[in-house]
Amino acid sequence: MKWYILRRVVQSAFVLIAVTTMIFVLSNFLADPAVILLPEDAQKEDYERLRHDLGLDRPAIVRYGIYMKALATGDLGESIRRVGYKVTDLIWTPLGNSAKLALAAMIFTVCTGLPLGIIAALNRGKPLDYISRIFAVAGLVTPGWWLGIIMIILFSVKLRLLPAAGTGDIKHYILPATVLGTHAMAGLARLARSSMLEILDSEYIKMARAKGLPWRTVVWKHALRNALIPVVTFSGLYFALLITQAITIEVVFAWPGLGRLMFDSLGSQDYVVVQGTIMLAAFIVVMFNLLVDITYGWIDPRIRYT
Amino acid sequence: MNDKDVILSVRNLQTHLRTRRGVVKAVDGVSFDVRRGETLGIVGESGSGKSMTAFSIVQLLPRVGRVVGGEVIFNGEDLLKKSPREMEKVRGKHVSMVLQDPLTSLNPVFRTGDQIAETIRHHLKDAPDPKGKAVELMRQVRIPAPATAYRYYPHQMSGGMRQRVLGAIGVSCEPEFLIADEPTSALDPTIQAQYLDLLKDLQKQYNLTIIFITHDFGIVATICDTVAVMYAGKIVETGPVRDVFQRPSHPYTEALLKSLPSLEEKPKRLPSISGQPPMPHEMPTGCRFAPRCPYKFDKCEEYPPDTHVSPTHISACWRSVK
Amino acid sequence: MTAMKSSSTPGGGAAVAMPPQTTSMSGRKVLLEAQNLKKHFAVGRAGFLGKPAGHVRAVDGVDFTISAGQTIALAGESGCGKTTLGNVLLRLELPTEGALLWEGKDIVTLTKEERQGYRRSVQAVFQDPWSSLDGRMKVQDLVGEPLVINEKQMSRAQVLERVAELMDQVGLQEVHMERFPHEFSGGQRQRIAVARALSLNPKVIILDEPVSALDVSIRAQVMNLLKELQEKYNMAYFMISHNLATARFISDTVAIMYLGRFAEYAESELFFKKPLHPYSQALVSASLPVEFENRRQRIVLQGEVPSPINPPSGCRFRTRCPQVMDICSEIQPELMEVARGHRVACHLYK
Ligand SMILES: Nc1ncnc2c1ncn2[C@@H]1O[C@H](COP(=O)(O)OP(=O)(O)OP(=O)(O)O)[C@@H](O)[C@H]1O
Ligand SMILES: Nc1ncnc2c1ncn2[C@@H]1O[C@H](COP(=O)(O)OP(=O)(O)OP(=O)(O)O)[C@@H](O)[C@H]1O
Ligand code: SF4
Ligand SMILES: [Mg+2]
Ligand SMILES: [Mg+2]
Repeated sequence: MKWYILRRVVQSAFVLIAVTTMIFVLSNFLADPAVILLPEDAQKEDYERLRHDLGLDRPAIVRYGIYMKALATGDLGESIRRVGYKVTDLIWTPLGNSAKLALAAMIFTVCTGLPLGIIAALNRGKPLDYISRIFAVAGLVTPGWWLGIIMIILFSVKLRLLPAAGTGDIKHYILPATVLGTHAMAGLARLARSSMLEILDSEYIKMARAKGLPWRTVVWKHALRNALIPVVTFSGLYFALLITQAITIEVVFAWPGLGRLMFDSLGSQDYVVVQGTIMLAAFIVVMFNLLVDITYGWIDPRIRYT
Repeated sequence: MNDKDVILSVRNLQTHLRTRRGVVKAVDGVSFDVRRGETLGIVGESGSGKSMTAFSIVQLLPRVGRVVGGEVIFNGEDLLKKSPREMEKVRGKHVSMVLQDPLTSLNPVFRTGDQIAETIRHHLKDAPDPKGKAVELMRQVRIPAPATAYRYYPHQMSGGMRQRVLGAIGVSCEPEFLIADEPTSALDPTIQAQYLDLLKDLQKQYNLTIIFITHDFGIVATICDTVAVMYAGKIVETGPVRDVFQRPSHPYTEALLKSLPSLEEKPKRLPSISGQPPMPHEMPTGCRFAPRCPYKFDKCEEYPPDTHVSPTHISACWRSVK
Repeated sequence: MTAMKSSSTPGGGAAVAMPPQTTSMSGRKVLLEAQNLKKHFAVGRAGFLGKPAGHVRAVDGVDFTISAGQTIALAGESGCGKTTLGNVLLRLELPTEGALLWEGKDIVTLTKEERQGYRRSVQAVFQDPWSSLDGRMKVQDLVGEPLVINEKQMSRAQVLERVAELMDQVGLQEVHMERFPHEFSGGQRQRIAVARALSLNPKVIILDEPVSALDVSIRAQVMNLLKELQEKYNMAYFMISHNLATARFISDTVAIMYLGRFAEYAESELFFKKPLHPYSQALVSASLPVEFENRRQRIVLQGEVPSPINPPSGCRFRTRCPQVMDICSEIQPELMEVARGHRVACHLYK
């Protein structure tokens, strides 16, 4: 297991280096930040001066070195719009907010998606199966922003039960978490259903029944643990995505998270902040991937020992 | 031959499977009796419905399968009339089963020893030390270093070791009746012989009754009292092992016995039955063995009746009809 | 512990590897050569990150060669390392120690191209005809898959043509190509598996109990087929089998394995005339005959089956051997030629 973890860590490090390099290449060659920053009527000299100030006139390889070195020390640069602010400082609070929202959404997802999928599998071909599948498909095809607006109208404006915007106590989490988690819930339900069905057809489930174990032991002990293997993978990856891809939902609910920060920075063309957020997102995805693999090894002994 | 002795009586069992190409009559009117303390061997063609017969008895058919007719009388009660709840109480304790495939029948995420102990814990509520008993069972089925092996996950064991774990689970709760579906197919001759010894001991100890499904005629000759030969969903011949093996009456049985390779000589080619077994959806209407039978004659267009060759020896072949 | 070390094995461990053999005694071309081959597994970790409690010595020092056209039948006690050895030959597992030479080169250090070549040349057929073929694929795709993966230059039409040819070779018809595995009998499925293994013209086929799930008549058909194919294409077979009669029919060489090592290695005629190792004798005596009269006397092995984590000192069979002597616990007997073509590892034959 030690070797297994070590191997995964090294692999993750390589992935991170590749991703950061790619981000560097993209943000440096596809768009010229100096052009973005200058007013439309700027002169050629202004342009050159700005490029020099930003360090853009140095050879790409040197800039790459500086960039990677800064990254390694956790420095993501300074905002070019909000002068004097480090990107890391700008990111910190939104990251916390996003993580809290994502966690709430994840709890919602697992608490709804998993039972939905399992109920569907256990009632294969019966009405309950169809109902839960319709539910799941509906969740998959409903756009998040649309659902968000509908829920705000219903629960905040009409019923006045829940706050519509901002963060605060637990009530503030309910709407955005539900909306954010709905999509994942649908995916998780489908995944849980199909993996549960496959397992219920397996020989070892037949064996567990042949031993005379009651149906609930067969399902909740023998089948569930195996069904959890793909579910864990999914949840881990999805959690990372939730934190990073929550832009629309955060905008709809005026949630002061990373998505909002990115959205605002895009609006003001603050490329350093955008780049920093993407980098952070990549880091989070890779880290969760690693975490998933390790959990996976813990649940499934076949992986642990190879 | 007292009828009271009969612990299991299967009458005209019919099991159908709904597949993409239509209904497969996997078990098509199978009848047999097993007396308490005896061993019935079931041999026959791959895919002839041996396992499906077993699964019909304990009601563990695949999702596409249904018993559509017949009776399974166990200790005077029809198991087919029992609810799923009641069947849970029968399985494992009264009728236990060893599944055919050793590689996929153990749960990959639990320790093998725990999978044995779990059964003991469930059925023998007052067993003082289920773990110790599991280790002891592993020792009895000749798993090396049983206390260490208890902690192995299935993938850490060889095929034969996993099969022995299945075999241990099968006898762990002192069942009245054991259905063993090829329980020794992955074992070498010495370990196999020792598992058979264990079964015989249990039989002596508390009159265990066994159905032993196998392709190995040597095993049948060694531990079975009676044998049933299956071909294409039907039992084509049944009787005391000695009678059937020494004076086979059905041409399929005869041909099977001729295909056995021997330790003593090395022919250039092994004799085998020419042609292929019938496809499940394209069964011949008459005798199902007719397309491959060297003795076929005009009567064989119709399905032959079960005919007594002797009071205990029955064959479904027109040649036996006098 | 010291007695188990490989110090006295011919080949003397990985450090001083023997020069590769190029032709066998019978003058056939040597394809694979195992030199003091070992494969160990770590087991019994305490908890999630703990140290392994020990190592299973699944394969613990075997030496042999496989030559073109040869059939080696491998039998032995369940759990003695046969499948593991097969997996090493297939390069599914890499040896822990010792070397496996492919046409003189160590398989661990093969270049990428050589690895591909190896994968083509050494193919497998597994035990279970019901689960070893993916049920969602048509037969033509199952048989053609190795071609599609390895022969990228072949067009779809060429692949299908080759598949049709292969189907014919294993006694199936072209109409079967469009069907799915579940529409076949067990014997036919095993034929499909053989066709698949043949698709890349392999030089060696590893067969792990290829017929033990089949009825005896179908078994005979498949064995006959394997023999015919070998006569035609001169492939080598390495067949693991618990059924000694089947082994006798197909093999020219028999290897008997006990606890990770070969106990006996002999030409099959010699072996079946007179098995020499006490374990082989027990194994043969336990093969159940169909006869009822004058049955062979079975040699019953007493005692517990020793664990491959802690094999007995000296001869590994000594704890259960009916003819054990004093020397047996002290010195590990090496595989020695006691008659031409008959090697045995036992102190009785000194
Ligand atoms: N899950 C399934 N779905 C569809 N058909 C099946 C299924 N399981 C078995 N069958 C079919 O049912 C028939 C009877 O199968 P069964 O497993 O009882 O054969 P068997 O006599 O046990 O053969 P073997 O000796 O190979 O174990 C076969 O034709 C088989 O193809
Ligand atoms: N992945 C693994 N981890 C730990 N131990 C293993 C692993 N695979 C095999 N073993 C051990 O290695 C030994 C040899 O196993 P192997 O499967 O090679 O036996 P085999 O000779 O093929 O037996 P069988 O006849 O039962 O198939 C066994 O003791 C088994 O427990
Ligand atoms: S070496 Fe000794 S213990 Fe080993 S098989 Fe020979 S006689 Fe038996
Ligand atoms: Mg079967
Ligand atoms: Mg094996």
